[in-house]
Amino acid sequence: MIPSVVRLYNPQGSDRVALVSTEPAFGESEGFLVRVARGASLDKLTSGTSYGPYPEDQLLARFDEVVAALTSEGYVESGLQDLLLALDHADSAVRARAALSLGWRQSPEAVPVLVAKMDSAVDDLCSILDALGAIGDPRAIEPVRKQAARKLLSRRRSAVEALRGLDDTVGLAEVKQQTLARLPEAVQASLGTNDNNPQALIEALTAGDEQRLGLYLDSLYELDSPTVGEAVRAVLNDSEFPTPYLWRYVKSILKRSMLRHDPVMFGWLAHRIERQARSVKGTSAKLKSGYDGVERNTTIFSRVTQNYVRRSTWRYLRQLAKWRPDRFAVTAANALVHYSVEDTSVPKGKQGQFASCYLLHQILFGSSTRFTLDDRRLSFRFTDSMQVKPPEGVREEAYPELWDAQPKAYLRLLSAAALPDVHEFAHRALKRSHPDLLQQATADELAGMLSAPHPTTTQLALAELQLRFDPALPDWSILDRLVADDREEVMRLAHDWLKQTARLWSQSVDRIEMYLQVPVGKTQALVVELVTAHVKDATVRTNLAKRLLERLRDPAAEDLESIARVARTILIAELGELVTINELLEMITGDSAPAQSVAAEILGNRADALRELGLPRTAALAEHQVFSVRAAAHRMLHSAESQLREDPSLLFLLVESRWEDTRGTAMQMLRLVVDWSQVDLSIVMGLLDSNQVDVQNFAIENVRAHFEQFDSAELAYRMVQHPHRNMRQFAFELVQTHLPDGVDALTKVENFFRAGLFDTWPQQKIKHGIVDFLTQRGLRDLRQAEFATFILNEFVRVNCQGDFEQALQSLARLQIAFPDLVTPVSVNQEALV
Amino acid sequence: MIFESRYSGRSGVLNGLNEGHLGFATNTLREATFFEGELQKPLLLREALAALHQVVVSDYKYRPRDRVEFFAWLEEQDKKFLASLGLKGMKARQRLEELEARLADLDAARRERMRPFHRARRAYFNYIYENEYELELLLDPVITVHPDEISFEAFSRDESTYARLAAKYDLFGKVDSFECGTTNIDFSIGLHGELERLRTYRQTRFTVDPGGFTVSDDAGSTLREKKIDLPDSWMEGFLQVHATMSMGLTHLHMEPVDLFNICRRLRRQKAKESPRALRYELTPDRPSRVVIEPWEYEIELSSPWLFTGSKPTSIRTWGRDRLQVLERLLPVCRRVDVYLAGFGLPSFYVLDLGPVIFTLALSGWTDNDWTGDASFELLTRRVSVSADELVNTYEALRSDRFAEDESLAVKTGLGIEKCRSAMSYLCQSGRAMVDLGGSVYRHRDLLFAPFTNKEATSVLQRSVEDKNPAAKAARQIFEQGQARFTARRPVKTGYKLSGSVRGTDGKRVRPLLHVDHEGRIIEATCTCSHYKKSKMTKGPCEHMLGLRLAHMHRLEEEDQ
Repeated sequence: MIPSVVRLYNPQGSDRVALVSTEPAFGESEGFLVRVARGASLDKLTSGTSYGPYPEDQLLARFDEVVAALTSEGYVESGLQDLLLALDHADSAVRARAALSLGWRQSPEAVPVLVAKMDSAVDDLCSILDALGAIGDPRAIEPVRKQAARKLLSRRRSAVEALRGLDDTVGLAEVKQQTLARLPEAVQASLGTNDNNPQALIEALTAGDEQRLGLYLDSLYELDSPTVGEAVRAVLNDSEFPTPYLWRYVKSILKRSMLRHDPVMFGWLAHRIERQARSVKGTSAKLKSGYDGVERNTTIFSRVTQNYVRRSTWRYLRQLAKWRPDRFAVTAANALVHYSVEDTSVPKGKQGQFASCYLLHQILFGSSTRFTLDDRRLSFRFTDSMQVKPPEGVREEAYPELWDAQPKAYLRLLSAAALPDVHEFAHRALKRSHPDLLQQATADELAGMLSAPHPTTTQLALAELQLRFDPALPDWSILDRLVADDREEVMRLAHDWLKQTARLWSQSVDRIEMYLQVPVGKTQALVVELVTAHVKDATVRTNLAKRLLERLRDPAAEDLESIARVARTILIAELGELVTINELLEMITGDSAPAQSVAAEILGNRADALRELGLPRTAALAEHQVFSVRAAAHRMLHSAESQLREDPSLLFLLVESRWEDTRGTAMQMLRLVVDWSQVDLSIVMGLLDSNQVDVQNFAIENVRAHFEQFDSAELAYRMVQHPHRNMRQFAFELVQTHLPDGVDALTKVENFFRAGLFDTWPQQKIKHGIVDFLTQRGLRDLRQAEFATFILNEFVRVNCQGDFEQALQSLARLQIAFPDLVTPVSVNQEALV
Repeated sequence: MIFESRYSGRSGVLNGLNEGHLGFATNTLREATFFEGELQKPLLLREALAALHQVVVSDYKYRPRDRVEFFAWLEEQDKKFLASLGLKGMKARQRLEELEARLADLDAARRERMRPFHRARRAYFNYIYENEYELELLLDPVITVHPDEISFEAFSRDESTYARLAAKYDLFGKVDSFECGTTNIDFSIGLHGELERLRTYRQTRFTVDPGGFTVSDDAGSTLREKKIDLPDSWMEGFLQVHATMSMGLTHLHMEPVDLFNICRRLRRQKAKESPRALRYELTPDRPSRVVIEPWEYEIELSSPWLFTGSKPTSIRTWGRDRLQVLERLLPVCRRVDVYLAGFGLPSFYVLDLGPVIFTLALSGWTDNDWTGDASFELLTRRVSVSADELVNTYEALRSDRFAEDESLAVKTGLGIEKCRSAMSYLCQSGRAMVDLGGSVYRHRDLLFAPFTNKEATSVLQRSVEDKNPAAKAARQIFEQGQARFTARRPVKTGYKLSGSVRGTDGKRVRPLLHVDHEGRIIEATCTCSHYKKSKMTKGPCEHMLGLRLAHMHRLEEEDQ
């Protein structure tokens, strides 16, 4: 690493200014010179010395030696003297700023001065404490400890965070006791017992006094542990900041996160404040000041304060970039990851989609010339409407060199960012200068990338995972996450891994159960397939059967279809040994269709089921709404052939079932068990009267086969009453061939004739057949002719030429045969002669 | 309005080898009503109930077709067209032909493969329809047992069709016992299938009682409850039908074959463009004609009945497809009476099946329910009636169960006009109904709550004038003396009035009215813009009503 230029200042000597720099040695390909220039001022550098050349790996050490030599001569870091002098300034704000600058510089020379100023400091005391904590010189421990015991929030906060910077474990232990004493007992208890489980802590916090919630949160954060930070974020996530007793502590937590350089809390809170500031104007309340104890009407989360805090977040990042450059990219990344599409706005005029995302804009477009900041609103707009598109090949982010120096920050973005544009930013960086960065990604980061909102990120993660995958020793956490994802490309990889590792996970009942219930249909289907193929071991099968049965019996369980499929396919024998017939019936009468289907399958395979249930209950199961229950009942019915042969009455009931499969089974059984040559008309009428076409056809088939045993005329009289169109042809055949002669017989079937003729969507063959039939019968005698004429007189008025002509012809024939008939047709008898 | 019903059993048909039992389960939340008898002509009842079922489930409202699949297909065609533009070479075209043929094969294979799925899906929806739809959406018919008949009343789902099936006691070979009253009956979709099994060769017992056929559910309960969120418009429509029936209607006869010819034509050909009206052409002393638009297909009614009006009239009605619900009745029907309210107004078809009378009431058009803008009640005339008189009339009708207006007037001691007005109010509040086939009023409590003096007062206070601006304006016109007669001529059917009326907008117009002896508007025209725009489809205008008020006032003066 090549050190940057150092400016030094000597308040005593003639050469007040010294400049230490490096430059490549002339004529040497790899050597560097360290050059020192001195003079009265920067414009008047009159003397100089060169050291070296040194190879690059030694350059930094030599450079520091030169600077140390100059320091021993009385030189101090440039600007330090001014800052030290500023500590004596009459304005406390100037003093405070100087103290903070000294803190950022981490100048040990300033420690005695700062400590000395503490006694007289009032408004600038916090800044001095912050500076001492930042410098981290143990000489400051004692005076800082005194301040840590103070009640005033700002003083105590700065002092405690300074002690943390000073690494004063004793002081911090004392502070911790005081902090714990401020917390309610429930919170203390949850801190003591479930240190790794934030949920208990969250519940304890939310159950407590709402007005003291802010204080509790700030105190907890003071304790500094990862669990505590998570709990604080969870509680704040559900809180509105413009609330008395909360906002001041939110600011305090933000301040603490900056003092202790906690990127996670800083990033989350900075974004959270900005998001709430976009929608909330703030409120006011009468509050007692912790500073002077006076009760005032105080604005809470006002626009001014919001903007101040938002600006301070970017100021903090800038200071990091300047003084702690190694921390900048990570902290900025932690702020960026929380931005999502919800933070963007619809572009309007010169305001782009990120116009109101102040911190994001500063980080991602800090070096851009395309935007202008509206300082009052803290929003950005395009400077020129012709330059809206990002320029090609130009890096617009702030401090690009710091991002390049810390490429792992990109991994943080890829694994956690919620905004596709942030992913694009990281993709560009990876493509440009860090193509192998993903090799450094942890499993958690890759898992996070799988659920990224940008498909390219997911593809990158999948490619990396594919490279790392070991079928003999898979990363189960990654696999678990993959199988629960329904995106096509992720699912493809998950399926591939599932297949390759099937021999391993199919031995674990827990994992099989988990995979059978993943919320992705295709994956569930594959798991079923794999389980069916791989679970061979008897012990595993027994254990799996027990587990799945437990799930199937759980009335609250959902999404059991895959479990049921596995149970039905491979575990019927094992399950059959675990349940009794009554338990199976209980499952069938339950609400879960998958459980019903499994129970039915077991029942259908139990040899003793029919004996225990009896035929009537089996018949009831054949009417069940779940197909597999019916199918099981059908199997049992088939096995009861001999019983049904003795008494087939149940089959006559089932043949009228509303379920086609049950009707089919009943008809099949009826063919087998009933001697149709012995069946009388009343029984066959039960089938013929059916409204189901398949049953009607079945009945017709049997009647035709044994027609001679029935009273054909009676059959005809009965069949003509059937209202179904499917039966009309059969009925008409019976009428044509078996209706007795005479008008009485005709009168009995009048409605049938009328229904066939006055049908708005008629069966043509039947319609014409009826007219012909009536004509033929009418020609036999006068009474039948009168009957035929009575119907045809009406039918002839149907507005259809074909019908009209046919009816007219029939009427004419009848009229000729019986001239006394009253018809609309008049026949010229003379012409006939 | 949540309409609740509770049944302790199910309606159904139980068939033995030689005997059958048709039982209707009644709503146990209503008054105890029952009937027991032996059916003599079960086939007639079967066909009539089938038609009633058609009405109950019918919904002819226009619903735009879901065209998603069509647009997807269209998009596919566009892509193919664009792709075809680039196909210049012979080889490319041949390749396309091969691919298209292969695609057709694959499509066919896919259809074949998906057939079981589609079949199962259809079965599933049928199941849902049968098991869920009826419980949540299908309102059971109202059954009323009278001393001379049992009537079933139902309203279609689209609220545009009303049907009443009146089964005279001649339908039954034997009537064992009955208790008059009104209740709902369980009328599930499954029942329709069971009714189809009624036959003459089984002696069929017919019962209406709370028990029905007791069937217990999985939990062992035999009670079956239905809760239907009934739109207010449904109930209002039910009442409005009878208010409209009491109007002066144009009456004509037709033979069943004429109705068959209309239905046959409507079934065979679908009108793809407007107008889709059924036009009745009535010429004095000539057979009437029905013209089916837009084809101008003309059917001359074969009935020997001739129109008795004084001048040729043409009445158009819409929503004619609803007549198809009558198809099953055509073979057993003996006579059809048609009652027309006027241009675009409701029409009524009364089918005489012998011991069964089937009345079908159709609103002006399918999308126009009975509670629309038509304000049919304005066409009828009501004189003022007190709450006591209303209750007395109700009680008189309730004791006789059915009566003609004259006999009711004698019994109550009210004048005929007052009695008619009272009946109009009772019909409007669901306490009575008009039997168009029998030309009588019948008692029927649509809702189960006693008719008290308080309700009578509330019925009277719900004056038409309160809710109808035309009626309000007419009252204002009359009171300010702005309605003047230019001619008032008594005719055989009532009075013909012509007048000069200054409306509320200050413009003077000339209404012409034909009112019957009861003051009901039979025919009316006006020179105002309301009439020119809507004719009578949105009810009479303020000028007609103002002139009628003046006529009524004159009549009362003449009576005195």
